Amino acid sequence: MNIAVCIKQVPNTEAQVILNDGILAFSDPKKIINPYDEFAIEAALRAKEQAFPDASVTAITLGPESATEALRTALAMGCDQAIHITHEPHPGWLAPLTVGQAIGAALRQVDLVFCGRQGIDHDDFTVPYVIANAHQMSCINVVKEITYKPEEKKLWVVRESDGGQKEYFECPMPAVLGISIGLNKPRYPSLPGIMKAKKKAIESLNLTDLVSDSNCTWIQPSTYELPKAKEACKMIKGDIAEQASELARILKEDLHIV
Amino acid sequence: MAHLLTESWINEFFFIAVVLSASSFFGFTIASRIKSILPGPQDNRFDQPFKRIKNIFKHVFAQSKMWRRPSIGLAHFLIFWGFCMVSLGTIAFLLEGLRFHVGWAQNFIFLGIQDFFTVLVIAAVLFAFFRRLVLKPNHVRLSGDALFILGMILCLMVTDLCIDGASATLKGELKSQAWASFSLAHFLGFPNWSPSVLAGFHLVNWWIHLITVFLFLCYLPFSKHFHVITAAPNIFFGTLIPWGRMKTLDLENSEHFGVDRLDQLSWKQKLDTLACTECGRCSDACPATTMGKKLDPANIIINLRHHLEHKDVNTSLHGQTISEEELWACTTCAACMHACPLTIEHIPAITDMRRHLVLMEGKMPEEAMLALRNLEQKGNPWGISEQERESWLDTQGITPLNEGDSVDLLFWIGCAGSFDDRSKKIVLAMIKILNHAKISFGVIGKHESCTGDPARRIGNEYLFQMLVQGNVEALNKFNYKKLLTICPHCMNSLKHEYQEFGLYNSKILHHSVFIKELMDKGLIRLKEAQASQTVTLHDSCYLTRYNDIVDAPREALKSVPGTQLIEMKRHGKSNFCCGAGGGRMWMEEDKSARVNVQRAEEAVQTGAQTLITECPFCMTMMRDGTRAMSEKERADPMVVKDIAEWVSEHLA
Ligand code: SF4
Ligand code: SF4
Repeated sequence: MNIAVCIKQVPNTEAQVILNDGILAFSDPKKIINPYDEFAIEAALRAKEQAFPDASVTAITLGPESATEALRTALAMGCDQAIHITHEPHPGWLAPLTVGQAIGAALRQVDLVFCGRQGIDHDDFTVPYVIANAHQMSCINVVKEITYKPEEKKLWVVRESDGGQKEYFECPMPAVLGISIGLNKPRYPSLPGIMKAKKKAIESLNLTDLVSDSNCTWIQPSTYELPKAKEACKMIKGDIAEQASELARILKEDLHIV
Repeated sequence: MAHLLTESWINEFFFIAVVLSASSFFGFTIASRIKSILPGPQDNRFDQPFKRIKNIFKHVFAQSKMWRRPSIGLAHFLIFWGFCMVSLGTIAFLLEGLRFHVGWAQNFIFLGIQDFFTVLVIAAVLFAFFRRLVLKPNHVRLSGDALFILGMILCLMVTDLCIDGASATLKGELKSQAWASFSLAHFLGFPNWSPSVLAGFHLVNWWIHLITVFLFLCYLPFSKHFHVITAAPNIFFGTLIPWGRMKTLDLENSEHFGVDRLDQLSWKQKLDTLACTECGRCSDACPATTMGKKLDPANIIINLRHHLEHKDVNTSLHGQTISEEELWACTTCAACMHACPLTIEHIPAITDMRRHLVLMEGKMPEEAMLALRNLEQKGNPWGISEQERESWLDTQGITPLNEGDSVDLLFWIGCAGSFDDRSKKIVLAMIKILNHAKISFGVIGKHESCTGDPARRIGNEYLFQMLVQGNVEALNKFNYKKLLTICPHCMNSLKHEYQEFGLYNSKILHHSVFIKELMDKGLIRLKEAQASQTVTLHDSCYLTRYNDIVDAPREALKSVPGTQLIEMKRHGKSNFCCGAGGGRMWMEEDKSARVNVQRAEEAVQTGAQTLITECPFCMTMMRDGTRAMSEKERADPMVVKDIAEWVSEHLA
């Protein structure tokens, strides 16, 4: 029994987007695990603990060297092994179709795959479906609740749509599940877990060995434009009469509205 | 105590039998207690012997902490010294029983002094009975144990007087110098008793006294009065390390972190549990206990002792003995440690157990977890972009130093000063004062991260050490002589915890102390008083109890013309916490009984117009507290200002 959890390293949610000579950058170099993926890791670990005690949980990511930090966190939380799909540096990013194909190819034998419902960087909602397609598995995204039926190799899954209505599915395994926030509470890794994770080997695979060059699609916008900074409010000082006359003057002279 | 042993060998035989069996029993109990506390991590408490002896004089002989409540202090002082004097008599009594001649014990001066103390002890014991059975103050736990012990002491004293009176009468040496036994003998009419009856009376009292002495001795280790024996060693071995420096964990070479079982507590931490007298002073001072929360510092210590006495060393302390709820309620305000006359160390026990929960089990309140995640990912507990540290300074026209720059004064802005809008005003006020005094200073902007104080006190030593390493590296890139901060928590960590991790040696100053220094140097000119303004000062626990800063802010406030300081009942080192320390700032609190509201009430009761704080977290808590009160009372909330704001508003 093999469980996989797909994770992605994304920019810090608080980091500001900046443009450096036309190249997109972030004010804070610290990166984090895609927040939805933390819930996916927890879901994968609980699947093992609650229903499939013999399973092995593999965390997998595609990304630059720094993405191993995300894998170390997943290992510290309790994943059994980790796979890092590496690629040559590129100013753009990989199309979700390519990412899904690469992960699909890297996961040879797998019964359950957990993903975050979307990456918060590009919001594509795509990778779970591509992985499912690669392995001919069932796929449900935006999952809110899961009940396992290991004997029947089935799952009961509740999916919540945007409007809030719930949809109930009986889902055969193998399956890919896209996890939403609120499904669980991601655990806090213990220190011995962190220490052990530091020493664990991470399997490294090359993108070019998984997806042929002709199928590798990179996305790169021609130019970027950042949203205009909101103009600060102007406070008019003085007593009521002064404020009123100053307001009238601004409307008339500065803004030419009246 | 005069002794008149009958010639009977049976008497002598039983005497020796009682002495031997009771002493061996006592010796065995003590040995097994020592054995039970020994297994555990190293804890060297043999350094600085002179300081330790000084503490014995201070806390044992002078009983310094007991005097905080003068009447009880006096009673305990007399019981203590009475007990010592009477014990000398008991030693003489036993030696004479063994047929040694003890000359000094017959000396009338000694007898007179001893009588004086015997009577004092009787009076004190009667007062103690009265207090427990009639007055019943809140913090005193009525226990059979206490009454039994008091009863035994009373019995020892009364039989002692009877023995002395009877023996002197029989020997025809009844002298008025031994005034108490003399009076008792006359009161009971001993000279008129027939010698055989009096000898019988003497013998019975003698045996009751002897048996009570040994009963007392053998019972002691099983009672809270074990402190008679454990207090002095516990005080001698008390910590000499600043309270603000938590023990550093070796993260690389340990397999277990924090305390789950008793053998993970050091011998001294276990000795603490044997020294506790259950007096309840710590509980009385504790903000959590006061607000009716489950945490009661005395119970933490007592429950650890029960665990030590009754449970297998391998059973976990968590759950039945100590609950998570208790551990998370602690603000690390140190009111308990300040109050405890036996210098028991509650906070390390609590934070060590938190460390186990966080580091080994990943267990903590959800909001605490969020704060730790924010620290990990963003470098500050607010979880705001680190960029903000510089962008807001930029809006004030302050440019951070470049690496390698030298400056006399480095202003450590801290997370509150960088991310919390109210605290930013404190920073601005302090900058206004610095500019007024023409003090040049530098800031390091985005090179700062949280000092790690909340992470360490919540229990995540790993995260703390990561943050410290980052900060030490950053700070050591600049040359400075003094480090200034508006946050007592930053100050405490930088001052006590950073040196160990290689922080460049410098003077670390809280802004209240620095303002006072500037005033003393005549660098601050203040406006003439317009009218008298009343203020009250809410002390920060991390300044008063942790860093001994009590007077500087008071003197600074009083130097502002027209400012009149009205103290709250609990102030200075006895101040009541705002509820934010120990990482509690980041955890939810039951709305029904909030520490900050209680403290705000105390501030309002002074009738002062303004509440002065000296810590950004106290500021947040006191503002929330005064607002909650005003909502209840439908009045405008009391104005809360930082000491820097108060001074800056009064600059000439
Ligand atoms: S440190 Fe403060 S909150 Fe914690 S137990 Fe002691 S008195 Fe109570
Ligand atoms: S810990 Fe100290 S203050 Fe608290 S009950 Fe025990 S002896 Fe008293």
